[in-house]
Parts: sequence; structure tokens; C-alpha cells
Amino acid sequence: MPVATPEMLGFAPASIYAATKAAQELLLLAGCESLGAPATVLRLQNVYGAGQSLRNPYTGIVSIFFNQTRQGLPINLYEDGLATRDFVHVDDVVSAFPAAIDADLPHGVVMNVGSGIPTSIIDLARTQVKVAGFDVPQIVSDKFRLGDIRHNWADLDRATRHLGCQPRVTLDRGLGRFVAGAKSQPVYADRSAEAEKELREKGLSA
Amino acid sequence: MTSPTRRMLLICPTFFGYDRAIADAASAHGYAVTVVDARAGTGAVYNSALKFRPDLTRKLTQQRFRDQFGQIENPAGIDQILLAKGDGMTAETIASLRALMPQARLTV
Repeated sequence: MPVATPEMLGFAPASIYAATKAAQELLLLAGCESLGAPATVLRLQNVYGAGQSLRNPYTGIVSIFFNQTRQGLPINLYEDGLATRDFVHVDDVVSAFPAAIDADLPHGVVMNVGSGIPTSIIDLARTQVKVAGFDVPQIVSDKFRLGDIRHNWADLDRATRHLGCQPRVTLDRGLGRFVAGAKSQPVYADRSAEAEKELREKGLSA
Repeated sequence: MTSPTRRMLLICPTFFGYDRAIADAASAHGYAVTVVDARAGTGAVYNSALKFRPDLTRKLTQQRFRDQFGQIENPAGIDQILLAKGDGMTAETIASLRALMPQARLTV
């Protein structure tokens, strides 16, 4: 049975992207320690919110889904659509930063910053379609990206203990804010198929 | 909300309202926040030079920050400096911040 991911688990990156994230964390902690500057690591989950790029087809599933729905294109879901992620609104992320500054923590504390709620990709698509007011089909593609983990959502115990703050923005409300901002942006060509082709050619998708 | 008793200098990019969102969050934690744009310019030429030839933007950047820091009332009373994105900063600018605000804790 899937459980929330706590911070104390060791690194086991299954993709290049994950390995770069781990490397950044290790570099920061080692570098700051050698400089005598205390470092705190906030592991941000899937952050979304008004103003995020609608152009980049490689990241930002919320942007990709919105871009597809506003053009009447179907949403293609990897695997069976039931993989889960932790979508956290940017306002909740922003609140964590001053809280971390004030917490005055010793060097090296690592904390998750997320919603603490697993959301399946198909639920994200359905919610976004509902909030945006566009009616498009959601298609389960059975495709997958190498290294994508099946479930990931944040265990927030440590952040709650150290920062004393809890996420406040629900997915419905957060997507509403995102959509309000995104509708004022230009319509960009959907390049997700192109990105997927590139991943496949490089052996990173199947 | 009670009156803020602490002061924060937030150095941050000002697009998409990020500066306002961070300043609001810091205000909710009891800070009176002064925002300074993290970049001395916003044009494509400046942004490209900042990435590829920072030596060309150094002088403009330092002058711009000097002007902005000069407008802060009682800079020595700043408790926190939060540098949210520092690619527009120079080592000299950081050193001048340290001199102007010796009590402040710098968070990057």
C-alpha cells in the first residue's frame, strides 16, 4: 500500500532528472557547511500557480493539460492515469519560506513542502477540465516514462513540526487561480507530442 | 494583524507578482518588507548579457543597487535580507549590503 514519502529515506534516483535534484541538494549542503552558512533544504513537490509557463512541454503537467484543453485537444494520460503526485499551490510554497527563515534551524534540516495529498493524474485532468470549463476527453495511453515513480506525495510531519504551517489552498481553488491567470496568456502550440517523441527516441519513454 | 516589529529587505524578480506574493507571506510573519528588484534591467539585451557576459552588466548593476539601497530608510535597522534570485547581484553588491545592514541575517 502506498504511503507518503518521508524525508529520511535515502536517495535512489531512477531518472536523470531525479539524480540532478539529489546532486543539487548534496552540493548545497556540502558547500554551505564548508562556508559556515547554515542551509535548510525545502523539497518542493509539484508546484503550480498563476504565471507559470505554458510554453515548456517537458515540465508542468498542469500547464500542459491546460494548453491542451483550451485548444479542444484530448488529454493523454501516461500509464493508467492512476499514478499519483502531490500538487501544491505556489502560495503555500511561498508561505513556507519565511516560516523556514524564522524557524532558525540547524544546518542540514531537510523538509518536504507539499499538499500532503496524493492526487491521481486522471483526477487532476478531470478537475482541471471542470475548473477551466472546457470539455475534452481524457485518454489513458498506457505509455510511460522511464524512471517515473508510481506514487509520490509528501509526508508533511517534519515541516508541520518545524515550520508550524499547513497547506491551505485546495486543488480546486488553486486550479481556479491558475486557470484565471492562464486564460490571459496567449495560446501556444501543443508540443507535448513532439517532446514525447524526443523522449522515445532517446530511450526515455515507452 | 499586529504592527510589524521586524524589517525585511526582499531582493527578488518582480515578474508574475512573485515579489508581492513573497512580501505578503513575510508580512504575515510579522515583517515590514521593502522590495528591491533583483535585476537592474528587464530587456532582452540586459538579460542575455547577464547570463553570458556579466562583466558587461556589472557597472550598471552596481549603480542600480547602490541607488536603490540608498533610498532605504535606516538600512541598519533591517533584520533580514532575503535574496530570492541572485543572478543579478555581484560580490561587491553583497559586500555593500553587509556594510549597510550589519545586523541583518542574509538568506539566499
